[in-house]
Amino acid sequence: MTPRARKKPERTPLLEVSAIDVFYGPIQALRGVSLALGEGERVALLGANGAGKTTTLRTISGLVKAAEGEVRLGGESISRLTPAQVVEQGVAQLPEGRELFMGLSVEENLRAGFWTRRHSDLSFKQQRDRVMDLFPILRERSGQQAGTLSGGEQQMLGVARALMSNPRVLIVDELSMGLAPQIVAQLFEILREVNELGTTVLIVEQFVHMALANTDRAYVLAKGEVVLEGSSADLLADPALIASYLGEADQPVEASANGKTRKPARARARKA
Amino acid sequence: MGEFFSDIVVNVILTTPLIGAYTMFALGITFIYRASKVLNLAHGAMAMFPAYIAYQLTGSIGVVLAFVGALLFGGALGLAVERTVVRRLRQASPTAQTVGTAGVLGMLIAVAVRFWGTSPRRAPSIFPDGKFSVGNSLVTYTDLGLFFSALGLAVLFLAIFKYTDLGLAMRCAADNRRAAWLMGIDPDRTTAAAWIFAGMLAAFGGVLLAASTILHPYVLALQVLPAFVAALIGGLESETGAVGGSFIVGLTIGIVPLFGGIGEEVGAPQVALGLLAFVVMSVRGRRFSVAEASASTAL
Repeated sequence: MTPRARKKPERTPLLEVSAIDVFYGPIQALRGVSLALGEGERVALLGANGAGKTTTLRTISGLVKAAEGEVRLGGESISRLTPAQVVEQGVAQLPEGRELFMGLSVEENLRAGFWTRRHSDLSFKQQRDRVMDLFPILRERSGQQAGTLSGGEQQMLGVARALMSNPRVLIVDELSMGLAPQIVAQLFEILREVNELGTTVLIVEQFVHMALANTDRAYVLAKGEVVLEGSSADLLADPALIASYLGEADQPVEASANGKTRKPARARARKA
Repeated sequence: MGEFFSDIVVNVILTTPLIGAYTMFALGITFIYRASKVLNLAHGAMAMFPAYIAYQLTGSIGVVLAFVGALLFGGALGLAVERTVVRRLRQASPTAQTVGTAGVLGMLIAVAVRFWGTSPRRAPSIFPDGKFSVGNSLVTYTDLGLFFSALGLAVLFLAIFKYTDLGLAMRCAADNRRAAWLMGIDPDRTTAAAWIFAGMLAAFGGVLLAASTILHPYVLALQVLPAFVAALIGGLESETGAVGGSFIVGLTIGIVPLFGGIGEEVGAPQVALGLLAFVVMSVRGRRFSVAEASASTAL
């Protein structure tokens, strides 16, 4: 989270997913998926359950290998790197379901997040203090076991741990999972601060409206393909368009900006 | 009564080398269980075989270098078992992996018997050849060396886990393998490290225990059994628990037979150990089965 000059998206995107095909055994999970994130952008990746969002993220992180196509960071291919090397190159992920080290303390989770930077010039203490400034509650809990934190605190720790590697790109899978809307809103606010400090953010989210309200651009995946992309503001202004792609899945309870919840009308599914 | 009390003191002192050996074995069993979620039934053979290596090398390169060689061999053996048996069976059930380690136990014993036969041998010790009497029994410097080096090693490893990067990585990988990957920690390497450490500890304990008792392929390999009980008392996932468990097991074996009035009889320690294992399983068994179920779903 060293402040970086915020730039407009350039011709060479910071993170580029280029026409990837991914298979799980005989089943094709992704078909020619392409995404591009300019430096400093906030981008949402939307889609129904099983559309391929998490697979896309896992491919970027090196946990899954693409059969075709490649992932580039700053113009260089990172497709063949191990997950560890991808983190070292500056792409950190908050995985779905948080995946904290529940038996370790908050401080130790942060040390784990700092793992790829442990031999760099960056000092752990400085980086930890910078990250803790965003999450004062974690500072109070630093000796506590991660498993004893509340759900919201655990998600904060997940974000904090990912930020410990001082990433150029932060990938967040299901920030809202299992959390109260107020907490989700608070977490999105923190992501905005993180982004303003220069980190590019890619968000996968079930809360479509909240994701669009907090990003610059969005991609919509359906059945392993990108079926729609555009500025978040435009998509937000045309709910019918989004609903036509996301309507097939059960929508979660939506959180509106003031923290109240409402059930969205279940959209009719139309052929893409 | 005074005589009974002094019997207890004598037995406790005589038990110290066993406590030391159990501590080293139980720590290794715990390292391996945390890293691979496998109960390593080959542990006894991983203690016995390096003891023969040390015995074999002593004639040509001297006892100290032979001891170092045995430790290195033990580490390599641990790594080899992990690479050839346990890792290949990771996709299979924990039971399949455990059976795999039982296969290694049988194979190592067979190889040892083939090379060195089944007659007991006197193993060399790295400690000076002295002894003193306690009651009407003798305690050798090797016995004491075994106990105190075990304590030293236990402290060393606890410090490694708590304070070093490697220790952090090992605990992270044991806690959540997938998350460790995403942090840039390679769980395959931390697992290998756990098996190397466990193999070296087994070798350390095996070489010293052989010097303190006898060198024999079956007897030495079976000496590890009480350490399984010790590791189980510690919950299989706690290093401090494994050390505590080793003291409980060692003292039980040393003292309980006195209360039963069978202290002098053959098989008394085994009876005591059996009773202890029974008690542990009734108290801990439930928790253990829950831990095993969650471990198998997590991977």
